[in-house]
Amino acid sequence: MIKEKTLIIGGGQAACQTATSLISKKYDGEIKIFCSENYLPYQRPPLSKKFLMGELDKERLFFKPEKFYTENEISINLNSYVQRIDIENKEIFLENNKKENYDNLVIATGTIPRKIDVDKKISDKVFYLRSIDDVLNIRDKIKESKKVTIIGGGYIGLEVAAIINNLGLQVTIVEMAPRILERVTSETISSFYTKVHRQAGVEVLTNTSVEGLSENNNGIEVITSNGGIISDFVIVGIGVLPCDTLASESGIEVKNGIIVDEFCKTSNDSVFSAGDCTMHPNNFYNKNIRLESVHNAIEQGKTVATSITGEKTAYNQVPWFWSDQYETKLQIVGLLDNYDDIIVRGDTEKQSFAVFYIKDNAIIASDCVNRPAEHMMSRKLISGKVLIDKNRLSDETIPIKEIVN
Amino acid sequence: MVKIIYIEHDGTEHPVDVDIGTSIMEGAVSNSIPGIDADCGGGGACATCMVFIGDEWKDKISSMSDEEESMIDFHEYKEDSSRLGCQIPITEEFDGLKVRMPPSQY
Ligand SMILES: Cc1cc2nc3c(=O)[nH]c(=O)nc-3n(C[C@H](O)[C@H](O)[C@H](O)COP(=O)(O)OP(=O)(O)OC[C@H]3O[C@@H](n4cnc5c(N)ncnc54)[C@H](O)[C@@H]3O)c2cc1C
Ligand code: FES
Repeated sequence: MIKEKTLIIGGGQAACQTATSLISKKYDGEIKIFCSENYLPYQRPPLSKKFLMGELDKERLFFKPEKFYTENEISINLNSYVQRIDIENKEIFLENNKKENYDNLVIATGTIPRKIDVDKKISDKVFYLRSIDDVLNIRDKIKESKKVTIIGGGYIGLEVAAIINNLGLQVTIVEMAPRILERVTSETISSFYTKVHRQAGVEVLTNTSVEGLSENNNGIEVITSNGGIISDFVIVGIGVLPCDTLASESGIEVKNGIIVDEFCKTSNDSVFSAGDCTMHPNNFYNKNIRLESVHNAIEQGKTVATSITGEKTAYNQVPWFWSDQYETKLQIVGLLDNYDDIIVRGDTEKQSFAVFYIKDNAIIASDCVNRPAEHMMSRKLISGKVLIDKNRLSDETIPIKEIVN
Repeated sequence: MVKIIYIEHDGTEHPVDVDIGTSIMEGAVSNSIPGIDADCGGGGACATCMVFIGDEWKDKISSMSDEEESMIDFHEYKEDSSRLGCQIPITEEFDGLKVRMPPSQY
């Protein structure tokens, strides 16, 4: 009998989870992964944390050792860029006219960093941070440098700033918006992290837009609306774009990401998608969203596996995320979606507090800094849509576990 | 390398060699042992790497931080002997360690 065949495009968190979940569900079809990178599937969060710091070997980033794939008969093809999909004939096309047919196709292509225009002459001084190779290059550059400019004050930019500052370099963050993290969080959290970075010696420039980059005898100059900044090199972290052109060019519907339903199925019945590249429905917030998070990649990977095996378990998740900077661990749950009140529990000065975002007397999101209990409690309260008493929430004499009486 | 025996909730034992310096969580993941999810990859942020470690090992194992304790406190299957596997680095002293795993990490 000919086995059913599932092809997975991409080899990141979502791709690996899809394959792992298929294996644990005893899927008896053939599984083939095609990834354009040259490493076994690996986790990205440490790239801007311990791996950049040099505290982790790259082997420790891999989700699974090579033997996992061989033992489970997963064919893993690295350095294999998929160029085109033919959804009519159910085939994918690789370089050198190679093609593969499928019964089920999973697109887990993730995102790529948004780029800025850079003259060839200085392109060796401009870095992005998405892959193991990016970090290895940045680490080499750090060794010969004293000063770095980071363009973009999002989570990745801030984590990188913290690490490079710890490594002893002078760091400047340039942010176009009036505050760092503006796109993703509240004023309270933005000003907290601005302060943390400034206290550590990082220069944080907001309301500052980049007008160009130019060569300079002493390195590279970032020309901004507030003057020039000279440093040895530049790291750009101004957001990412979903890798969805492969899908759109084949006729699959996309709109700022590959559109999927709650079963991670695309507009084509044999094609599924998971991870950072999807635009998907979220039941808790009643809207379509695109997320860049490990949790989403894992849960959508699991969902795709159930769709392929026929179990069909709908994706139904409150998003969560974390970020490590200096001695602070930030844990985020939920979306800051039209909240009508903010409650702070704890003390921002002591770097130990939780910010709860409230809508109609229920928590819809929280940002917890060094407050894991508040984070875990928020997860329960948000997914249970529990009504809360705001006065109790800010009252630290009441343990967080007893906040709902 | 030390020998660690991971025990699934149904009693299935997995004796494996684990590198010193890695964590109890990584020992399970790199040997494809089911029972530990480790969603955050060792960041101490997810509590999906919870394991149970017998009392007899208590004094050989690094003590638990307040953060770890708080995360475990919310785990569906917590017991007195619960720890987060990613927070425990493996040392020479762990040879023969038995690590039990919960029925699920959620
Ligand atoms: C520096 C950094 C720090 C992060 N920190 C955190 C964090 O603290 N917490 C958190 O929750 N999330 C974090 N994230 C986000 C998280 O890593 C992503 O959400 C996650 O990796 C998404 O997984 P994915 O499988 O969707 O995509 P990816 O991991 O991006 O994998 C996609 C893969 O597909 C390959 N690919 C693309 N197109 C093709 C093609 N045509 N053919 C073949 N292969 C292709 C790519 O090369 C890539 O290997 C971080 C990300 C980065 C970059
Ligand atoms: S792996 Fe996430 S807390 Fe241990």
